[in-house]
Amino acid sequence: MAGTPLLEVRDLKKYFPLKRELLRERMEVRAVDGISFTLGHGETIGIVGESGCGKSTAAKTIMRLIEPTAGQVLLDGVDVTALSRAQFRPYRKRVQIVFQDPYASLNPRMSAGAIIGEPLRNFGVGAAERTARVEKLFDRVGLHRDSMRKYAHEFSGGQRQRLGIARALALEPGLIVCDEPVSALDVSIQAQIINLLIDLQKELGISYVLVAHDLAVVQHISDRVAVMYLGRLVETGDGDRLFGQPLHPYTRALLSAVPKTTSTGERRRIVLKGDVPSPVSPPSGCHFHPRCPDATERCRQQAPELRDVGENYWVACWLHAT
Amino acid sequence: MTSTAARDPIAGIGSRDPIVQIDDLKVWFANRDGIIRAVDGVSFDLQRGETLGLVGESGCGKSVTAMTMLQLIPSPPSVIAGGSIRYNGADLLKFDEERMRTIRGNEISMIFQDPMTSLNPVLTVGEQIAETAVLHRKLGRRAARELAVEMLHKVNIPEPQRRADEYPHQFSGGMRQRAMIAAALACNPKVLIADEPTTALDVTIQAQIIELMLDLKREFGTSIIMITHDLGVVAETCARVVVMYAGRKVEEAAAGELFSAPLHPYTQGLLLATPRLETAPGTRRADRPRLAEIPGMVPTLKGELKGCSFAPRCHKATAICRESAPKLEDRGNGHIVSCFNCGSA
Amino acid sequence: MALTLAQIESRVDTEGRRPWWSFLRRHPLLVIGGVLLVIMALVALAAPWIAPYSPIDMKVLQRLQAPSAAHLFGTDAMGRDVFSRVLWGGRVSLIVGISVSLLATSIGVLIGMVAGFSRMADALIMRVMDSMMAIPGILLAVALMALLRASIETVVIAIAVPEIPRVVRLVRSVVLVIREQPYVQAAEAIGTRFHWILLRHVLPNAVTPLIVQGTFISASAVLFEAYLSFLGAGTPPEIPSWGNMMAEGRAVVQLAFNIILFPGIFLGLTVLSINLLGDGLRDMLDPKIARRL
Repeated sequence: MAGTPLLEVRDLKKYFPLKRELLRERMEVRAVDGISFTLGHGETIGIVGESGCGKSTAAKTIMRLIEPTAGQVLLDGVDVTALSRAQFRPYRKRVQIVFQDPYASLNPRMSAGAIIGEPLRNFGVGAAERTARVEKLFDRVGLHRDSMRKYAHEFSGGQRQRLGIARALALEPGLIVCDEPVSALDVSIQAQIINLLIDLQKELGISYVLVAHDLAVVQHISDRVAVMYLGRLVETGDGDRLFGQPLHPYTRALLSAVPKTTSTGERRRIVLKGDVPSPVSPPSGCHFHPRCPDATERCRQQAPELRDVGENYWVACWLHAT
Repeated sequence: MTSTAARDPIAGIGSRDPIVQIDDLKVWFANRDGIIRAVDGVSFDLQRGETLGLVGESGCGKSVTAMTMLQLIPSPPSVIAGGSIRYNGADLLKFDEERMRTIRGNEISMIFQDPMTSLNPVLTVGEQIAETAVLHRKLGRRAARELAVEMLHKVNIPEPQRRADEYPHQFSGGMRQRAMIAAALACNPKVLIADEPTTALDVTIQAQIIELMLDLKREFGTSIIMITHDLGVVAETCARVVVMYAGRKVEEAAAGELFSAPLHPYTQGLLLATPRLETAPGTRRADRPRLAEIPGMVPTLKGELKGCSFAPRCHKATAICRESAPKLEDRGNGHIVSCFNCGSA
Repeated sequence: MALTLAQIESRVDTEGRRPWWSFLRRHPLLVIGGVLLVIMALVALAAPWIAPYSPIDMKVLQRLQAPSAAHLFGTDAMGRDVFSRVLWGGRVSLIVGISVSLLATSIGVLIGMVAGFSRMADALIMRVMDSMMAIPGILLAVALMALLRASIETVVIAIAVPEIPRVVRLVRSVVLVIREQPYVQAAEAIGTRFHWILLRHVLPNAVTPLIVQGTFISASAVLFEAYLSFLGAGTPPEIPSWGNMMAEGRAVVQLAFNIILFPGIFLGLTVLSINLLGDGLRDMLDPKIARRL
């Protein structure tokens, strides 16, 4: 990877304050508790984890839809977290987002053409040019140009997701955050949208930050993968290496938990005890230790840091700390 | 095939001892926009002791089929336009409400997708589990509570005595699902219908629930209908699978055979469209094939349908497919397909 | 037991092909209320042309006459034709009903949106609104009229002010919900400026419950005007309004109850029609009820 990476996230944190009870200290939910990674041009990083791990919050904080509590986000080398909201506005052209819910992410009272045209309007593109560009966007995502006048409810779930992608492409961003882009869709439609995202990446060189809970989808699209647990990264690195030889016990449990169509009879499977903990009162030390089959005393007391175990592959686990 | 035996230790393949027989079931919904043919002539059997998977995407009619078994769909707007559902020989569709009540929770139980909304928030978990026992087994309060505690223990909820007196909001998602399973199995029903039981759960919790269901099935010998759109879940739990599309059955086969040699173009398309998690070391992303797309969308279920419901999206469709609906044929070994053109993959 | 498609279709009204009168059957309240209201409004508007006499023309020799061919509703204590006064009085009610509704709704929307978006302003605003709601509307209106010189404009203001808190609460709760919707976040992500988000994304989606609320406010306003005038704190006595007429008619009710009766009937019909319209609108716009068979 020559030159500055497209995206660099350094120790990003987002804490949400909880209502202060009388006479108790202020509590907060540490939704994102210090994550760091880099992403190059035309690359995809998949962030995986279960509910409450903070991956959606992380994705939105990276693009300042949620304001970070601490840490830095660098876009092409520029620290955008240090900018005021007004100064950041032009950078919106570089990072866009596709939402999970195809029904709630489109304004029910706007026509499809107006929805896709809105980003262009915001940045001063005149009406005639807008129409031309919107038409091209419709073509690109596989929708009929004539459907520009239709309203959101007249489209199917998959088509609505295409509209969301078209809207994200309008400003020609270098990075698109995809927050569970296919989880609300049927399997046969998922494939269409996944292929569309892959084709767009090949054609336009866009990078993706893909947040998803479906590991197979993540494996299919991502170059790099980051596994989150309770606001922290536990393992991150090259996708093929992570799926083939996972190091962190949580990653291994996660991968073995996914039901597979190629299973042959009784499978040896790591089944974790207990529930996914809530981010309001995380366990001490390594957040994963209560459920970890290999936990030691040290794990209970001290949180391991993310360490480079070679070739830009990082793990946060005492078992892999030399 | 040892794999199938491991999934279903009680029933072997080919044993013909059906406990539920659904025959040409038609469930239609009538509203001012027209008639919606949600289930349009579906037939399959559930063998005693087996786990049958009912698979399909949204709108295929799998949930409606299951809910009709227990007469849980209000009758306007739904209309049973034909067919029968036989349980131990008797047609459930002809049962009146009183008789149906003796079946629900007692002989045939159901668990649902969203544990948040299927447990009553103002009753303790113990009360809800005990409710079926009180109703069907006529147990006194103390005995019912003991049963509830025992069921909670069986579903691996720690400290069941304490937990029985707690309310659903004090349970996590996975625990609520276990509680629902406990309630469903409290009276040892012969049949359990599981409607997307793991879809709303995190994957590690899903694994726990699947393990639990397999263990309980071994212990109680319940026959299970597993409704889901997740093919992986089906592969790990079911011995036989029925694939539904647009209100009709398109394929039925033993699970292993369905996944290794599917015959219907829809099943083939579905399998090729689903990304599979490869965890063999050394798998390379670059070598992975592109996901096959099934073009178009699920058809609306309104009005009269001419020809095969999958024809508009099928790459193998020919003229006859658009003219008449194919019949279900047995291709040997219990592998049933309805397609004119599925000689080979 | 097997039924054919045709048999089932014959049982159910598949009305998609006859939109015209099926609308009437599906929304009876809306249609009845709407038609009635339109009639009342037209009559009131046409008063200058259809009223047989001038409403302020006093013919003392003909006071307190019973309804007759010459005077359809009789005459009042000063010899004025009741029928003409009732028609002209309708204009007052019409003006007051519409103006109050528009005024209260527009001010309420502004304040409600501010409350929905700014947590700090919200706390302050809601406390003010709560205290306003703690005072019975009619007392608040009377108090305001005591401070202002009596005229139709001030009556409108005095009636609108107590209605504002309800609108604010409604708008605020709707805004709080809409704020969290992904399409609003999406608008932020594509660089839409705040005022445009309010105008294009929040407001249009908040309008539906407001329409219904607006009709109920106008019904309430028409009644309030009558209460205020009846108490002598409303429309100045020179202007014929139903409330004024009923106030004057109170003194002579035993001699000529037609002076109270006819304005009362018209008042009741008007308020009823507005309420029916409002109910019908609410049923039509509420998606859950609309899809019921």
